[in-house]
Formats: sequence, C-alpha cells, structure tokens
Amino acid sequence: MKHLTDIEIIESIQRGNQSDFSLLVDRYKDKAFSMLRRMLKNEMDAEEALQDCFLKAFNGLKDFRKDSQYSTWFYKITYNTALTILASKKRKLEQEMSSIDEEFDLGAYDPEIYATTENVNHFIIKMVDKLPVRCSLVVILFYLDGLTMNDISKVMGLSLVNVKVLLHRSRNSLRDLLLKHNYQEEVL
Amino acid sequence: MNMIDELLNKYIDGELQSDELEEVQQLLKNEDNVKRLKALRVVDNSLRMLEDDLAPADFTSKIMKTLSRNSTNVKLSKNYFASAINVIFAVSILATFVFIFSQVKLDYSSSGIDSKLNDTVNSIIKSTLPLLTFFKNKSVMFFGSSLSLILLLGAYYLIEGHKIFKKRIESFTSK
Repeated sequence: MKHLTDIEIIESIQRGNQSDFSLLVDRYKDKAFSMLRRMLKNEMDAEEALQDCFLKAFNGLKDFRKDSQYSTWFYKITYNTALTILASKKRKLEQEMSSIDEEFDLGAYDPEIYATTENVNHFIIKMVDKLPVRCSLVVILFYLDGLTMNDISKVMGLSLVNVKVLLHRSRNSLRDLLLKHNYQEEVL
Repeated sequence: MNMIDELLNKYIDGELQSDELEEVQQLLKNEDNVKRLKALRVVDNSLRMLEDDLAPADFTSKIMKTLSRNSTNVKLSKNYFASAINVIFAVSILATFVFIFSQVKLDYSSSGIDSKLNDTVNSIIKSTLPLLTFFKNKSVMFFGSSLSLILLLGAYYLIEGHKIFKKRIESFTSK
C-alpha cells in the first residue's frame, strides 16, 4: 500500500472517510503513549489520556491548518492533555513544572537502578524515567519522536533557549552518573 | 551549567560555530574534558536507542469504535429533533382541522341522505357536541396546546437524557 503522508490522510478524513483516521492512530499511538506514560507515571492514566487525545484530535481536524505539521499539532494536544490531568491530580505539579532554572539530582535513584541494570543503555533508559517531567519530555520528543528543538519549543510552549537548557541539563546529569560508575570506559 | 558543558553539548548536537570548534579543540587537550565528552557521547548514543512504549494492542479498534458510536449518536439526535418538529407540525394541522370542523354548521335536511343515516349522523353529532363544545373553550384549547407542547418537549429531553446515560455506561464499560 502506498505510504500516505499525514496531510493526505487528513484530507481523506475531511472528505468523509472517517475510517482513515485509524492510519493516524496507528502512526502516533505508541509515541504519544510513551510521552503520556512518562508524564503521568501511570499506564492506566496514560491509556485514558491517549484516548482523550485522539478524540480531541479527530474533533479538531476540521480546524487543522495544513501548512503546519500534524505531528507537532498532535503532540501539543497530547502535552496539554497530560498537563490538565496532572493539574487535576495536583501530583507535585508545582514542584516538577515550576521553573526551568531548578536544579535536580538523580543521585537518590542511582543506587537502586544501578544495582538492577545490566548495561549502560538499560541504565540510561531507566534513568530517563526519573528525570523531572519537562526534562524527560524534552529527551523523549528529541530522541524518540525525532522532533527538532524548534518543534519541541512549539509543543511545550517554551523558548528555544529553554528547550536547549533542559536537554543539555538532562544529558549532563545522566553523563555525571556514567562518570561516577566509569561506564564510559566500558563502552568506548 | 558551565561553559565547557554547554560547548560539549553543542558539539554533540553539531551546533558549534567555527570559533567555538577551536575552543573545544583546546578544551580536549585536558584529560578530564575528554572523559566528559566520552560520557556525553555514551549518553547520546544510549538515548538514540530509546524505544517506544507500546500502546495497548486493541487501542486503534477501541478508538474507532468510540468515534463511530459518537457519529451515530449525532445522527440519531438530528433524527429525533426532526421527528419532534414533524409531530408538532402534524398536531397543529390536526388541531386546525378540528377547529374548522367545529365552526361549520351542518344542515342535513336538504341533503339526499336517507332518514336512517341522517338519524345516525345526528346522534353522533349530538353525542360529540358536548365534547366539541368543551374543546371550543379557549382556555381548554390553550391548556391542551401547552400540555401537548410540554409533553413533546419532555419526551424529547427524556430520550436525549437516556442516550447520554447509555453513552456514559458504554464508555465506562468499554474501558
């Protein structure tokens, strides 16, 4: 089957082929789920939010501007949905989302995760889950979803500089843990 | 974040300007900075190997079912509204005919109908006359029309309420 672009699929849906929305769902469900699971820290909440995001996206397709990217638009919906859920649950939102300047320390999680991981990749992946919500999200959007820093700044409503700060800070904190365990010598 | 870290991160992302590149080359003469860059590369490579969490297997079919149910509900709600309008229209036409009929005075003496049929018609008219007189009363007509309208609207909102309730139950059970 010909690989349709997001815009071609959207045009088909707008012509009345509602079932074509399943192509967009299949294309984005795992990426959005990864994002939501890391933000909400709970699989059930993430699944519920995922459903909500796709329903919002479907209802909003009539207003979608074709000169923008569907992925950025959809991730923005996903991000805002997760924020709303977090706000309603008041789950440490202020602590986790308040300031870009805030420093964080992964040291508290390090012994437990270091003891249970077999290699450096596994260690890093586990540690990403322990990053503050916004840092973890920037890492996911950049590495997993392949968004540019410009797109990430649109999704998260942050300046480009702040996105870079969050990404660099996340990498530096992970790097410090590797240095502590001398992992870099094992790999390189 | 210090300047060295920032430069090393920019180096990893390929964002260095030529003057900054020279600066990094100078920095890498220091063994500690080399270690830091190595570790940063390891982090970058590991993060590139991140994999998606998989959404539940039946997620797509679930969402498509919800969408088709929602669109059916919208169509049904339009149909109910159209039906309600049709019923109101039909009732008003019927009421108009009843009103006209009650105003017309029938004279059967000049017609060619035989006397038996004439008697039957007259007896029917006589028996329904009190009813017609009752419904000719303006306040009764007003009350009747208002009651019909209230009943129709009540039925409409009852059906709508039932649909919303059913939808909630379905979305609750489908989770």
